[in-house]
Order: sequence, then structure tokens, then C-alpha cells
Amino acid sequence: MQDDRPKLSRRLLRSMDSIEDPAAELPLIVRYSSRQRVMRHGGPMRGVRQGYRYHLRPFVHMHATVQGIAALEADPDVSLIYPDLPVQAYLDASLPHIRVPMLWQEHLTGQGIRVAVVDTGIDFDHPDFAGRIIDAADFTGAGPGDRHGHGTHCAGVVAGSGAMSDGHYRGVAPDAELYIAKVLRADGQGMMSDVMMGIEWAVDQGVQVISLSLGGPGPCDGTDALCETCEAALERGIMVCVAAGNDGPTPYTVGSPGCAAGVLTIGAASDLDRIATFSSRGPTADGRTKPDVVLPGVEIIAARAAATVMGTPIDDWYTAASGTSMATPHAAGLCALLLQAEPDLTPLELKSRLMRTAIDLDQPANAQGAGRVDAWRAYTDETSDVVAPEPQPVPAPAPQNPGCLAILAALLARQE
Amino acid sequence: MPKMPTSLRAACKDNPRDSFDLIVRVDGDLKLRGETMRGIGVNVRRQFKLTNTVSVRCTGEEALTLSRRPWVKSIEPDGPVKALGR
Repeated sequence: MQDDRPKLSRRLLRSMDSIEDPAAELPLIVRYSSRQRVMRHGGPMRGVRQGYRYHLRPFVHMHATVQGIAALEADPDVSLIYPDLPVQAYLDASLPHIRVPMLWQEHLTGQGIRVAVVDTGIDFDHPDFAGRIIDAADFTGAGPGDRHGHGTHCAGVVAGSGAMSDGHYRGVAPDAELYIAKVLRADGQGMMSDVMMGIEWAVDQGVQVISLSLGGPGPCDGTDALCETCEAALERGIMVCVAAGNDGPTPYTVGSPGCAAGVLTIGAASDLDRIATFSSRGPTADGRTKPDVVLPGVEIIAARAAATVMGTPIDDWYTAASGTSMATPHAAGLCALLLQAEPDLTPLELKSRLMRTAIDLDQPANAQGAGRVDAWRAYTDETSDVVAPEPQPVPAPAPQNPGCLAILAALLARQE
Repeated sequence: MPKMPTSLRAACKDNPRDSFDLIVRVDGDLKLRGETMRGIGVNVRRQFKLTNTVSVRCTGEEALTLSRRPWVKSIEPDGPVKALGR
């Protein structure tokens, strides 16, 4: 919403700006302050054609000219006016849940934003990343290809195009540019010094966001060399998103670099906004609250690296996996969208924005942080407790579990 | 704050010939410090310019020698990390 026209969404204002014919009508959804106001409001208004009155909420579908929209805006009973937008099937469940598709409708897809995934490498041949892996480096000595599957999955959550699923498993920022640092071996393990190399390399590439779905055992106090490296990246204006860890629900289980003070530390929740049992809990060894926020991290379907079996494979191209690792690239992708919208946002401002607009899940701060991130609220910097509902795209139905035999057949076919 | 965690110092004392993977934060010119470390037999694996730090592999005895150098700010274990998804 705009400060000077608080009842109109940004998208609607842009649509109005592009209209030259004063008689042209825009489809709208108008929210009244109460159902009684809707019932009371029945009189004709110049430039406005009324349509269906919804009964679950005080919404009315309308068509209106720019003059008509101004008249609606002046009506004290009208609280908000949205454009009526086309809907389509989006991804799985997590992105509609945190309202990422509404940012896509604002043409925010991460285009031109450089994101580093520091992990087990990537499947360079996966079509979901075609043309968007800008550079890659290997710090394990095994080559940058992904023989584990974790890095490919995380990169898919950040920026997969969903090409092999008709967009069904599209990532948060599907047009972002990917920089891949391989710091974990095929067994998913590595050393802190490898991760430090990966971060330095990413900084040298000029990335704007770093996604770290890895960590050591907790607790820690944020003073170790890996944490300091993350802080140094932040000081250079790079957003650093870090997984809290999977050692919950025991307290004091956030490890390095999740315990670094300045990074955005992400815990995992389900699509029903329940904190995952495995999600690591704070406080840090020196008593600070962590994680900072939570995001979906349970049974997330995203890109699968060839010849890997991490998670529960859905087909040749996608697999379902759980962990704070899966929640973290949701945050990294969203940061890419917000940076596309507002390129001057600093890491501190991004972290602050995501935290203050998060939805309080009424859980302990050392489990949920500030709450569950909501992409639309973060974009609009909406901090009120009441979430103004916008027209929601209809989520695509969940894929049918193909069963073990089908998975085996798919694997065999791919190997052939 | 001590240069080395107590547990690491004790491990180096108890096992002076064992090999340790460590991260060493230093003051001054990173390249020069790396060369000095090599001079006392330390295997310098990587240098990190963001934090003026090196990762090394050395014996416990060499680690204790390093800890006595005034330009060494801190020595800590190069700990394991792992992917956090399954």
C-alpha cells in the first residue's frame, strides 16, 4: 500500500498509471470495513459496476474506471481496494503458504540478483537451472558437481525454474543468478575452513545473498572464525541466511554459523505453522535468542540431483526433503526478491524487515524467533497484527506419491 | 580471552606429535604470517583475507609454539560441519 493512497495496492496503482482511456475499467476486489457496510452500500456510483458480493469476508467484486476507483477510495466504508488478478497453479504448498506468488505477480522473480549457495555443489545439467549458474567453485577437491543432492535441492528452493514440473516446483526466486560453492563432500560433511573459503569466494564474486544450509554442533557463542567470516560478509553488504540446525527440540542446539549475531538464522516449521520438532532451539551459548525466524522446512519438494537419493524422490527430477536446510533457501530467495524490489536494502534492514513483519506463532522466542516469515508482509513492510487478505492463487494439488516401485522404475530409467 | 580453548591446549600438550586441524587468527600481513608458520614446519592449508585467518595442519607441539607468537590472536579447532537436510 502507498502512504499517500493507503487503500490502494501498489499493483493497482501501477495498473492505473498505465491506463490512457478514462472509460477503461479495471477488475477489482473491494474490501469494506464490515459486512454491514457492504449490505448498506448499494447505491450507484459513477464509473463503478458492482459484481458478486462475497459472504465469507466483506469483499465485493467490481469493475471501475480510474474515476470510479477514486470515488471508492473516498468512501469511508471502503478499507482496501485490490486488483483482481489472474490465478494459476504455483509450486507445492510452501510458497503459497508464505505468499511468495503475490510477489511474482508484482514481477519480482529475483532477476539480476546474485545468490550464492554454499553447499554440496549442484547438478549442472538439471534443466531447472538452465542458463542461470553463473559460476561455480569446488573447495573439496572432488569437482563442483553434486554427488549428495543437498546442494541441488537447496538451490532449487532458492531459484529453481520448475522447468521439469511445468512450474509446479518453482523456487522462490526463479530468475535469480546462481553462484555455487561446493564445500561439503559427497557424504554431506565438511570442515569450517572449507565453508570459510566458499564464503570468501562468494564475496569475491559480488553476490548479494549467501545461503548456508549447513552448520556444526551447538551451542556456540558466535565468536568462532566461521561466524566471524559471516559477519565480515555482512559488513560488505551481503545478506547471509543460515540454517539453525536439526538438533531440536533441546535448547542450546544452534551451532556455528547459525549462532553468529548478525546473520539471519532460520528455523523450520511445517506448512501448518507448527515448529518442526527437529528445528534447533536457542539460546546461544552466550544467551542470545536464536533462531531469528522460521520458514517451511518439512517435506519440501525441490530439484533432485541426478543419481542421488537424498530425501524421498518424487521422480527423476525432484525430491522431498526436510530440515532447517530447506527453510533457509526460502529466506535467501525471498531476500533476492526484496533486493530486486529495493536494491538499497542493507543486510541489517533485510533482517529487520523479515523479523518485524513475521507472523507470531505464539511459540517461545528460542523456537520461533520473531515468527514465521510472510513474503507479502515483508514486501509491503506490513507490521499490523491483522493480515489484510489479498486474492490468493489456488495452490496446485499435491502430487500423488508415486510409490516405491514407481520411484525405483524412475531411478532405473534415469540410470539407463 | 585465552588464545586457545583450554581443552585444545590440553590436547596439544597431551599429544604433542599428533596432527591437529586448526584455524589461526593473526595480526599483520597474512602472507608474511603464513610464510613464518611454514618456517616452523606448519602446513598452511588456506588463507582467509576477510578475517586475516589461516587454516593449518600441525602437530600439538607446533600449535603450542604458535600460541606463543605475539601476532597470533587465537587458535581454534577446524571443526566439522554438515548439511542440515535429510
